[in-house]
Amino acid sequence: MKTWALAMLGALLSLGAGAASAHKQSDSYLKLTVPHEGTVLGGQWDIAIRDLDFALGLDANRDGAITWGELRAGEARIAEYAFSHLSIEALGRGDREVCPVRLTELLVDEHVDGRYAVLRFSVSCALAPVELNVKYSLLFEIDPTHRGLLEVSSGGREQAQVLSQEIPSVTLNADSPDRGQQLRAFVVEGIWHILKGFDHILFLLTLLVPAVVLYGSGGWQPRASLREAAIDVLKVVTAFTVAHSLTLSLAVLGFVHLPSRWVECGIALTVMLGALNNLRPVISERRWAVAFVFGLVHGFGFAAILADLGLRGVDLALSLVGFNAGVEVGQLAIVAAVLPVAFMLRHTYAYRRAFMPVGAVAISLIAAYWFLARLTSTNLG
Amino acid sequence: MTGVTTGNGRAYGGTRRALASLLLAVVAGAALASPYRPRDDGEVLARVPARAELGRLEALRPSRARPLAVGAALALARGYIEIGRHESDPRFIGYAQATLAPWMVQPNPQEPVLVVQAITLQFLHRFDESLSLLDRAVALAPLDGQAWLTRASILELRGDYAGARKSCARLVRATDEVTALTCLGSVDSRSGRLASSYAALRGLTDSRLLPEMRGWVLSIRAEMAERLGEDRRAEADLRLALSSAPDDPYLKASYADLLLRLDRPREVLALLASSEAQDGLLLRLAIAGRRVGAPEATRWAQMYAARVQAAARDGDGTHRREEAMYLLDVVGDAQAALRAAAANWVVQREPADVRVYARAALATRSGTDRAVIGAWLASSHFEDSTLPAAAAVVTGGAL
Repeated sequence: MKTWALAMLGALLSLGAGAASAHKQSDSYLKLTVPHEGTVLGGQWDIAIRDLDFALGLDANRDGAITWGELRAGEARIAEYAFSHLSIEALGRGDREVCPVRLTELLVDEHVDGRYAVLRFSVSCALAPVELNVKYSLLFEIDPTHRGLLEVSSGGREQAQVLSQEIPSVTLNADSPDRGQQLRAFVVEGIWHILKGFDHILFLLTLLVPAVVLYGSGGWQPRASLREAAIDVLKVVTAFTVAHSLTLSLAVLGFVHLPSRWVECGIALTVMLGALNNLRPVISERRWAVAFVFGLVHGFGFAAILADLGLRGVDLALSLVGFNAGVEVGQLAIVAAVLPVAFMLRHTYAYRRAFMPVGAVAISLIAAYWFLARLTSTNLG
Repeated sequence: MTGVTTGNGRAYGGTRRALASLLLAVVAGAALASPYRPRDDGEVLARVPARAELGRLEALRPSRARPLAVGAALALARGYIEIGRHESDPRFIGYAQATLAPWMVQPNPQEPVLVVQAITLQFLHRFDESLSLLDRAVALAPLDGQAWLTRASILELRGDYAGARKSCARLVRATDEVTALTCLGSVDSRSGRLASSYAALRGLTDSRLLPEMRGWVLSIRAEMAERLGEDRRAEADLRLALSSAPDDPYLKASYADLLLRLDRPREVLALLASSEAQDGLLLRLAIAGRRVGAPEATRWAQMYAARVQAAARDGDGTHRREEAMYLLDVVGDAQAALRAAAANWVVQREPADVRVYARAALATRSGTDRAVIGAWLASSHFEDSTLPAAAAVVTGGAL
């Protein structure tokens, strides 16, 4: 201990100069290129040969010099080590898929602080990513000061992020900087979001199913005209749209933030209350008001997907407009599918006496289950 | 680097390639040339410094089957720190931290773990975190000389001489007389007692210095001699220190700075002939090369520029002193140098930091910065006869 302490004196002296003659710290350079079309991304990962040697022991003959032959001999181990510390996930169409990564070529390049192994690789995603989630953990367990400098280029746009043990993952926009394409991508994203979000569909159904009937002393009675039903649907859908657009914008612009657990539970609750209202209506005339109040809750749910993107400026405005438009399109598709059928069946006994109450009970049970599951869940991902 | 391969032809080609690469780097920032596939399996891509030391430490490295005991982990971490210091490579500091990580995540790590972790943080210029660990350590073990000495060094570096002095005073009981005397002498010499502190350290005969301490004591003594204007004695001490540790990057940088100040750049080129790989020494090469018009001056300057750019791009702000020296002495952009020197001044106040800040403030005729330095010199009683036109700095007067 004492000898060591004395030896360390020298180290102390170089405090100010420790950095004076310091090397650069250990960094790797990770580049992902999103293709204009298709789902296979290109990748290049430059990792300092010295870092790989420390992690894997590349210097086979232990002469202190790492040759091309030694690097090549370690190719499989290098790829296995590197790619087990990297996960690339494609997000889009309401789905997320981890994209398998495969080494295509091992090369060498010179950086300011020496030579790096260059791993060229392909990233085969099952879907064209609107966003990419990158999880990085290279070398962290042996050098916590190591960092990964990530660059994602799509079209002409470059996005960069420094990944470290403190910030090991990031979600970046992967769509093209072409504004038209970007807008379209978000419209599609909005459509998928509502079509895949089963809770939104059920909520819409609870609003649509009773639109073709009226609650009176004898229970549900068919409405006389399609026009009457359509006006009711229009009022309800408009109120729902205005409300969720409002909260979606407020949340994405960062004015309001609610914990996702509350929002998700809230959405389940709106579905349950909506369904129960069809069983024995508390509010039947002003259902648009119900749609408005509950729509506020759903808007926060829509916002969750956009808030993670960290968009700014024009990108943010485009995503808001596009996503919202997509949600409306999806919603209209549901209305278009449900309303004519409901209208045709409105006279039937089954619709009013069986389908409506049974449906309401079923939906409220499902929603109650969601509510409990979301309330107690530790992972809402 | 690239140029240092086998055979002259290769070296020349390598140098040309490196030059082309570096030119690109200045433009592109990150990767230099395009990636290539070496033709020859025997081509050396990288050298592992300290292979022998690393090999010795390898026996200590943990595995899944065999996690480390705390004693072995400390020995391993210290080994990495030693290599990191000798190679001035922060990677090894990271390895040391990773080695200590299993203990550092515990609520109450053992005292020696705290101290060694504090030393790694000090290397990374994370001074606040380092000090807070050291405070915990000395609370647990009030006689840990290493902890007190590390603490004293950080406080001294920051210009907190009263605090540093208190920590040095603890060394009288915690370690030996020479260590305590050197620590106190260094702090006192920066706070108004330069001549008497130097005399006290002069009194230490070479025979009283243990080999492990020689470099430390001699370099502190040389630094005092320089500030007293005793350049010949400073040089003698630095040469003596280098004779037993010829590769020590800190000693080499100190000696190069002395030679540059004495306008002997050719000797710097000889001293640092094989030191391109270390940023700080490359900088001194670039400065000296520019002064004598060496053929490699441009290449060194570009190499250093590329590393500065890489550091800036990667958000690494720990090399501000060197950046200021580079901007002032290589690029000749005094305004930019002043900005770097002023930013560095907030973090550290070693003699070299004062010098580059004062030189930049004078070159730009910045009254505000001269007043800052003047006020600090007056309040700290820091003495340095090498400060350019010291009187003008203090009074903020016209040049």
